[in-house]
Amino acid sequence: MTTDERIYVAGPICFFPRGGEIWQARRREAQYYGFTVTLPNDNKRPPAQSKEHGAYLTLKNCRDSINQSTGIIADLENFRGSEPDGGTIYEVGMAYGHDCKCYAFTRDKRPMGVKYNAGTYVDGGILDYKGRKLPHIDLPFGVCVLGACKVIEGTFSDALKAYMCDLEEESKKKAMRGYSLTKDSPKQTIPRGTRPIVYVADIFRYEEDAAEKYAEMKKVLEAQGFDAIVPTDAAPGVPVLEDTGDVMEMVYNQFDHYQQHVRNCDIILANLTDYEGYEPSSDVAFECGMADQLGKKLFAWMEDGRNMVDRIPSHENNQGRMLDANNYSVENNNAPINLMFGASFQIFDGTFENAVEKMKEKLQNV
Amino acid sequence: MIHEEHLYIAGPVCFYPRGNSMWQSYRKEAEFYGAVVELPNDNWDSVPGDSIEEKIINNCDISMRKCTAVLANIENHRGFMPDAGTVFEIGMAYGLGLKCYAYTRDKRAQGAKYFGGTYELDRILDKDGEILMNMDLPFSDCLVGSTKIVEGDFTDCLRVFREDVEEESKQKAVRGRVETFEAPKKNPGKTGKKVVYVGDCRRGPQAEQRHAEMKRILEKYGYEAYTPSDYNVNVPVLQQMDDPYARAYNRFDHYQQHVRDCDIYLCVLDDHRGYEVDSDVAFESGMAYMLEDKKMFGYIESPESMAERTHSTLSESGSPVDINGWSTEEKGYPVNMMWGGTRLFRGMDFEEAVKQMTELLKGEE
Repeated sequence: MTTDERIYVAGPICFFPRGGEIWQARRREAQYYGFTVTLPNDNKRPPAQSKEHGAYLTLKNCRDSINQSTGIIADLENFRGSEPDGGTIYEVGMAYGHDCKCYAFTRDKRPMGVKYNAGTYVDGGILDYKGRKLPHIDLPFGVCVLGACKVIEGTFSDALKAYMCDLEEESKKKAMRGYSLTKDSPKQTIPRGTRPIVYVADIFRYEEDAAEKYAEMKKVLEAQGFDAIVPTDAAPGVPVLEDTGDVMEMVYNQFDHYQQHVRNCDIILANLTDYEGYEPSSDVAFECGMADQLGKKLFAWMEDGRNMVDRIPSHENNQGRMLDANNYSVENNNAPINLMFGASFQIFDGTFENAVEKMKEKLQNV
Repeated sequence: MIHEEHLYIAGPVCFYPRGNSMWQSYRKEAEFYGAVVELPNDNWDSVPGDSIEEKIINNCDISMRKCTAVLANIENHRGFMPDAGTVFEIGMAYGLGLKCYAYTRDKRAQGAKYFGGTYELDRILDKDGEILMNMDLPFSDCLVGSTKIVEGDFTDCLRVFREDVEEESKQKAVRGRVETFEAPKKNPGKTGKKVVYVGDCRRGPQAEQRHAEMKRILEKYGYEAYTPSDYNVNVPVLQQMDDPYARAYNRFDHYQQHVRDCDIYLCVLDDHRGYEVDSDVAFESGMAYMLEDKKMFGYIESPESMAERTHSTLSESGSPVDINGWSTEEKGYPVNMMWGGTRLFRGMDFEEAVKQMTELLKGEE
């Protein structure tokens, strides 16, 4: 019945032993129900001239596949820490920017406060293993993931079934008398001026002193000739809802501000420093993928910008693949992070201030 | 939010050994996630009614009116149909405007999952030689049209329901999103006569012949009559659409509009592909009951009770049970007791039933 739907299957299993087989099994299951499936590694590509070129070709493949898709089903399994795989979330962001239906699955949809298994309980909160206060302990995932995706507790099969059930309901609405659904197409809500607008997709947005930190960051950007937006800003055109008591309604409203910031900027400058474990913040990863899909200029910084294989303790197996302690692949593309970012973003090693300077230089050279 | 949702849990487990404890375990699971739960037997001690069947339907009515959604088990029951009482409850819920969810362990198309078929070139005949309609759908038009059907168990259905509630919450905050649905209303008849809609199993040439004869009889007794073989003039016909779910919804739309438009709902309650009432008829019956402005009558050709038809024996507690040990209705009742609010004619032909119905109605004028 689902002949018109083309789904993109995303997840970190490509890093697992037998990941390719698992991917194909998911493809086959979706095809069994009539979906057309696009995988991140689907299209034939020319031979890579270098590691960086190979990463670029893989990213291009993902982009091309997502741009042919009507929906995405993403695996939100935690990956080298409590966050989902950053590359997967990047793909969700790309898919959202392409107006795909976004579905995701997880084996554990309990709130983070309950499922975080390395926390220290203190008055009024939980500290993560780095001693930082866990944000949104009442939510199972980051705001952007929850705002953009329908999150299914279960397996790929469960997500696929939920997707099919929803398609059936959509089909019925085609024949429903007196039914209509309209919604605004998202647009930029900041008029363009002479100065480029930079959105600082940063990881400290939920911290108590975020407003002060971001005021300083804005000053740095403005001094270099940019207009700046930070995550704690209210996005023009997006209402700031009074707390209704409905957690998911409030989550969506917060997400709406973030996604509007991405639409409103010319340049995204993302903090890809490891957030939890060895992965970037899923809010930031989502915004990066969305910015990529919308054609923004892409810059980032990391406090530790060494190559991924140097940052993440890894060993080489007998096929020349670098593996972490769990035998999951560690990418070896001469980039500090997952190739979705590594092949699309200019990533600077060091501080935010350093990144702003270098970004300005790069833009001037362009 | 889930804690604002009141769930009515429907299903045939009440007929199973330990059924009540199963029901309570479903309740506990839903309560675990914050929902408020109403069960069909919640108000038993205080519910009004002179007979068991009256108390049952009144109890369901009271519980249902507190609810925002129904979660129903549409497992096949003593044959190919789901438990008719459960489908009746889904119809009640739909009539009240509740969200309707159901679950089944087998959501394949009926053509694939029917065991008793005789295959012909492009169709399947059931064990009684009737054409199996809706071969490409998992259930009847009324179930598919009214209800979100989840393949899995109660837990899966509850999970899907919770996920949808989350999406509804998010949608409240989506800028510029306007979703409207104009609820169908009752339309007057054409002739000024009382409008009767006959709820009978449907579709296919055999059904059409039977319905033509039923209409002839009803018109002879002075009614404006409709059957499921008639399109409802107020509903467009969209049967050329490619999408089977859209087509099913459109057929359902005709049926539900017939139910809204009638003054008298006359349902045919004979066993259909097993020992249960056809699920389109069961749905319409529940819906007609909940719309409250209908006079409801049921017709059963068989004179036998449900216990007799299913060859039930008496359990140790003295209640009738079928060969699987599942309860059948007591006191010689011919059909699921959800029809306790329906006046039944049994063991006669259709014309005799129409004649008796007419006399009863004249007595009430």
